This record gives sequence, structure tokens and C-alpha cells, in this order.
Amino acid sequence: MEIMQFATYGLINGALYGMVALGLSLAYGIMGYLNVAQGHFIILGSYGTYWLFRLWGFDPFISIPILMVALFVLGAILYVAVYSWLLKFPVIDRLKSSLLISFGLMLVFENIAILLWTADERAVTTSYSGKVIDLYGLRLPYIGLGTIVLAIIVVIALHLFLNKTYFGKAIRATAQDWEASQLMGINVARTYLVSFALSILIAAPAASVISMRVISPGIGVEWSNYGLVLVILAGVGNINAILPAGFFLGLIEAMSVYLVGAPYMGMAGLVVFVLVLLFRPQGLFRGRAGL
Amino acid sequence: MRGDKKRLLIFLFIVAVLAFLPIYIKGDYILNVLFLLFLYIIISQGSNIMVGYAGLLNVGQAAFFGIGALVARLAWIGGTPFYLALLAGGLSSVVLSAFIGIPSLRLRGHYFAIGTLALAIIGRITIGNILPGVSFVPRQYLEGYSLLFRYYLALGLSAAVIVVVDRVFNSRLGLAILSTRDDEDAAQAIGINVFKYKMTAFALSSFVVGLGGGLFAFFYISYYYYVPFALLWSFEPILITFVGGAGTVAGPVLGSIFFVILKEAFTHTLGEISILIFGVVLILVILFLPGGLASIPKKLRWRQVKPVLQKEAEGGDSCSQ
Repeated sequence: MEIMQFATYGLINGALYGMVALGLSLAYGIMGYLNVAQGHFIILGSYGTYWLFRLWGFDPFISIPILMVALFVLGAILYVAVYSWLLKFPVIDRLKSSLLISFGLMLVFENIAILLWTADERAVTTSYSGKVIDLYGLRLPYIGLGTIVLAIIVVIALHLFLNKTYFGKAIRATAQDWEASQLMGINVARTYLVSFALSILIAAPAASVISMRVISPGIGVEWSNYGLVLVILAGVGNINAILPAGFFLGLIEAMSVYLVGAPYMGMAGLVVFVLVLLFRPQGLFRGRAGL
Repeated sequence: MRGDKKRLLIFLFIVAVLAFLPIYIKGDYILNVLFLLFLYIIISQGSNIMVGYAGLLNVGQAAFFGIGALVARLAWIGGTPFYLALLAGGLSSVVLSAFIGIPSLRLRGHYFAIGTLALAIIGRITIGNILPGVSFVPRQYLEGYSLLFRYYLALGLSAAVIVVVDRVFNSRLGLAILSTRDDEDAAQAIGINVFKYKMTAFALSSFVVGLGGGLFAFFYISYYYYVPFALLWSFEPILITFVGGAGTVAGPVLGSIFFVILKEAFTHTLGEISILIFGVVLILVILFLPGGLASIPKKLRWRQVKPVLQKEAEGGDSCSQ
């Protein structure tokens, strides 16, 4: 029974990892940008949730739509101000340059957050925080269930957007070959702008969930790191496999906590990650390529 | 040839000034800052070898810095003479690079960068768990502790590293490494063993970074064992290299000077803002000055020449450096 409990927590964590990684995978898959500042954008969103809760009593789950709008605007501004300039570099250099740019953004955001809100750890405590449903001895936290449901909703919504809507198809076409897309009459500049903003927007649910755990300015790197690990585990650009990979990573971590102990929790995932990198660099779930 | 001589003279002059500086300066503050500067020059030259010359982004440098510091520290405290301890630190880092490089350098592109990032985090977590305590220098060592000696050691090492990087990348070996960076397929086609040269660059860079780690361990009296494994030791040298100018010998030096001045000048007055400024400068440099600070004089000079010539020079620029 105990192992089931660990597995439950693993799945809950995995759902959160999946939501964190979606934005990274989108930006990477569509534009070839490796945006390691994603974790910092998420933490910024978490601070938004935190203040909405503290000042006006907004429930973290309720504030997700507000957060989505705010993050979309932030993403659009960042794209215009910084990331759009990278398009002039060849595709190979885009990855390296975007990595370095996002290092710079990491420094900027982290220090702004420290200046504004100090380095203290904070968290949103709602009326249902820590409450659990008892299912035949298996403890299912409300927030955890909410996380899994959110993750599934987000993934399905993104899938429908990319596959069923006209604009989503334009994004996929641009990801495959932007020159050809331009010839077909797609406005590539606008598509890039929206997809980058979308990759930040998609962090809103993750930001809301993280605000109920613990937030501090320095924690963004860890989430970016989880995101990176998942992008590789799922296979670069393979958005459909992100959530399964997240569940997989969560379960691996949970089992390592069960068998070895909590201090090495972060490591089990990384060891699996390195093994995947060495032996299956195309990712765990090959499936259909990409978007 | 004349340019070479001029550069050598300037270099020797600066080193001589720095060598005589402690005679005129009272107080330890300046020497401490300069020590930090030398340390940053060493480790950012290490990352320059990788990202500037070999075109490989090693985000896991913290692991190499950390292992160098750890081995050197344990050896030194264990009673080994410091120069052997430093050497052991550098060599342990080379051994680590062989473990990492032999499987991973065969992969292309982003996998190396992300894989080494994972390595750095694994190292940080492992050391934080195995050695959670503080490392102290034993009492009998403290009595003989001399800042001046460490100053000269750091000065000598950083000067040596600069000379080595300059010489290596003007030699056949260096040209081979550059060719793997510029076009891997073309290099392979003309008979260059790409993997071998990438691995050589990786080992050289790791040795330099490991020496830097040893210097860190030899300088600080007490620190948490995990501190040299912190991710900052990965990011800062890369950022310094790019701000200064990747793929040039002068770049990391200029970047380190800029970084250390910013850090020291503003730490007491502005605190976090110094790092914020550095972040903004980095973004601006990447976007608008891809050659880094080191390319400013050349840019100014080329402005006066015909645009056609400029284009040509920029195209062949990376090879003739």
C-alpha cells in the first residue's frame, strides 16, 4: 500500500513536470529556441497568483485565466524586445544564442524578484491545502487531483488547438519549414510571435500549482531543469509525449524516494535522463515525429 | 610577426605591473579582488576553449571546477605539497572529462549542452548529500597562510593559461579544433578525426578549469564542500566569455575584468543590481555585438574601410583569429 501512495505522489509531481515542460517544448519545437528562463517566467506567474490571493483573495485555480492573459502579454513583449532579434542568426546558432539570452534573462528576473519580494520562501495556503480524500487508505490530496486534471485539460486543449484550428495548423507548418510556409501565405513573423507568447502562456496552470507548494526567486532554475529533462525524455519537439514522460519521471522519482530516500530525489530523474541521452537520444517515445 | 611582438610586449608589461603592484599597495582588499579576477580569467579561458574555439557548450563546468577543488583540497589538507595538489585537481578534472566526453561527444548539437547541465546538477546534489559540512584549513596551515603567495600563484597561473591558449590556437592542433567548430563535415572530409580533436579540447579545457578549482581550494580558508559545485560556476564563465568575446584570447580577460569590477564596485552599494546589469549587458552583447567586447576596436577600425572589404573580413574572421 505504501508503494501505491508513493506512486500517487509521483504521478502528481509528474503532471506538474509535464505542464512545466510544455512551454519549453513548444518554443524549442517551433522556433528552435531553448528558453531556460521558462522556470523564471513560471515563478513570476506564481508570484502573480500569490499576490492575487493575498490582496484580493483569488483562489489559485480561479486566477489561472487572469494569469494566462498576463503571461501572454509578457511573452509577446519579451519576444518583440529580445527573442525576435535572434531570428537573424542561422538556425544552428539560434539554440546557443537563445540559451545565452535566457541565461541573461534568468539573472535579470531572479534579481528583480529578489529586489521586489526578497529571497524569502512563500506559499499560498488555501482552505483545502493539505486536505485529502481517503480512498481505501490511499491519500489523494485535493490539490494533487486538481494538478492531474489541469495537466490533462491543458494537454488536450493544446493538442486540439494545434491540430484542429487554422492558426494551430499554421504554427505546425511554420515549425516544419518556415520558408515554405511563407510562400504559402502564412505570416511567419506573427506566427512566431503568437507561438512564443503561447509557450509562456501555457505556464500559467503550472505557475498556479507551484504557488501552492513553495516559491522563492531562486527556485526557477530547478523548474527549468525539470522542463529540459522532460523535453529530452519525450524527444525533442514531441509535444504529445510530454505528459507521459512527465508521469514516467514522476514515478521514477517516487520509486527512488521509496527505495533510497528523499535527499536523492532530484538525482534519480537525472540519472535516467543521462542514460536516455546516451542510448536513446531521440527520446523514449519515438512515435510520430514532432508537432 | 610584428603584431605578435607588440602583443607580447603589452602582455609582459601588464604582467610586470601586476607583479610589482603588491609592493605599492597597502591592505589586502585590492589583492583579494585581483585574485578573484585571475581566478575568473582562468576558468573563463577554460570555457572559452570549449565554446569559443571548439564550439561545444559545456554547461557542466561547475562539476569540473568542483572536482578540481575537492581533490586539490583533500590532497592539500592531507599533507601533499600544494603544487602537487593543484596538479591532482587539474588531472582529476581531465579524468572526469574523459568519462563524460567519450560517450557524449559523439552526439551532435544540443545534446552535449543539456547533458553536461545534468552532470553539473548531479554533482551538486551528490556532494551536498555526501559532504554536507564545511571544509576547514587545519590550524598549522593557517599560520603559514600568505595572501601574497596566493596572489603570485594566481597571477602566474592565469598568465600561463593565457599563453597556452594563445599558442595552442595558433598551432596545427588549434587549427584542427577550429575546423571541427566551423564545419564538422568538411573537417571530416579532409581527414580530421573530429572526435579526437573535440576530446582534446575538452580535456584541455577541463584541465584549466580543474586548476582553477584547485586555486579556489587553496585560497579559501573555509567553505561548504558543495560551494565550488554550485551552478554559478557553470554559468558565470560562459557569460563572461561571451560578453568579452568568445574565440579570442583577449575576450575572457576583458569579460572577467568587466565582471569583477561590476561585482565588486556594486556589491556594497547596489547589491543584486550588479548581476542584473550584467544580465542586461549580456543580452545586448549577444544580440548586437556577437564578437563581444574584444571586437569593439576592430569594428571601429573597419568602419573607415570600404563595406565590401568589411564583409569579406567578417566572413573569414573566425579562422584567422
